[in-house]
Amino acid sequence: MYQIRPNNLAVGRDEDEIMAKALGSGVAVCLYDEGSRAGGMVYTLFPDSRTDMKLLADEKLKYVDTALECLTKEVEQLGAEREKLWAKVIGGAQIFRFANGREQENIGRRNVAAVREWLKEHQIPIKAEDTGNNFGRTVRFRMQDGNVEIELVNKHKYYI
Amino acid sequence: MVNYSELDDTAQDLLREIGNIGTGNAVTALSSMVGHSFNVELPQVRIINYREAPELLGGAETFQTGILLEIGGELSGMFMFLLNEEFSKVMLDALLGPGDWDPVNMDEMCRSVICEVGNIVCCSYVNALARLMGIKIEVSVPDICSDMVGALLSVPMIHFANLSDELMLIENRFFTDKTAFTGHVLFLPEMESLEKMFSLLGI
Repeated sequence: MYQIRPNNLAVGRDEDEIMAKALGSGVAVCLYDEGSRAGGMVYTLFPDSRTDMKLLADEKLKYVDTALECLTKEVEQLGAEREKLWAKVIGGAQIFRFANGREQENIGRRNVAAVREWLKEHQIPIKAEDTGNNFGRTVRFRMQDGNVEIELVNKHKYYI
Repeated sequence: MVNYSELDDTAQDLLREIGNIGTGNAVTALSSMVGHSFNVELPQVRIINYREAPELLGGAETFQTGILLEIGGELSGMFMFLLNEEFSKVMLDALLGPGDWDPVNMDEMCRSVICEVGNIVCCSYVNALARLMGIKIEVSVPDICSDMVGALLSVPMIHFANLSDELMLIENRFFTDKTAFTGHVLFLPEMESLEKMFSLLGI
């Protein structure tokens, strides 16, 4: 089991498992190719790198768009076929409501929207999604079959 | 760019003092709210990196209840009070009467009681800060969430990540004659506010 922290990614195949603990408003994207049983997961916190004027090379994993570029490259290098990749998207919750109901503060929703947009643009289909709402999620991604387990704070588990 | 960790010992002592006074205020307020007194150890005030925060709070997946308050006016930022199951239970017993309270699955009434506790605690620190610096600070309506601590922290982490990697964590250990429990307060000022704080304090 390989655990990734915010603004990080990991790739693997066959028996490998990748996990991210306690996602809140951040978003995790899993990419997988069933044929080669290879895939990867990235865990990012911000929707759009273009808002950061001085993006450093090691900050690419902070933003949905640049992080997904990195993840796609890495899974391809591992032998996954670009055309056969699908995605599963998890997280992007709204944990606290802010005063004045400031919509721009719903960064969870913006993260998820950014993921959908990027995937659509790059023609990677979304196979399953468990996003939004107001609770945290721990994610485990199994390379053997592309299954994603989601565990909540009350230990309830389900699969997408 | 001002970073907490660049502060010299005097400045860090001042922050600790704000933490101490705030904790003192909080204990007084909580004691009068529940009608009996708490004891509290000298609080631990630490400047930590965001990445360390989940571990210091028991691990990313640990259950905690967080009450988040935004501050505005002459200083802006956020305060978050975090309490674990034990602490929530003590407060629910004291305020709603002894019962089989389940802090993990709280109903609307329990949530509003705990939210008020968090509000009172956070405001104790806000008042300490305002008085020490002679300024006015406005406070927003609080919001409450019970979940994995990692998920709770994702909110301030995202809000402040582009500004600073550090936050101020105040750890309080409370005692009653029967039990001991821990509560944490996070203080996350906006960058300009941190600068303003230090200039007001003559640092």
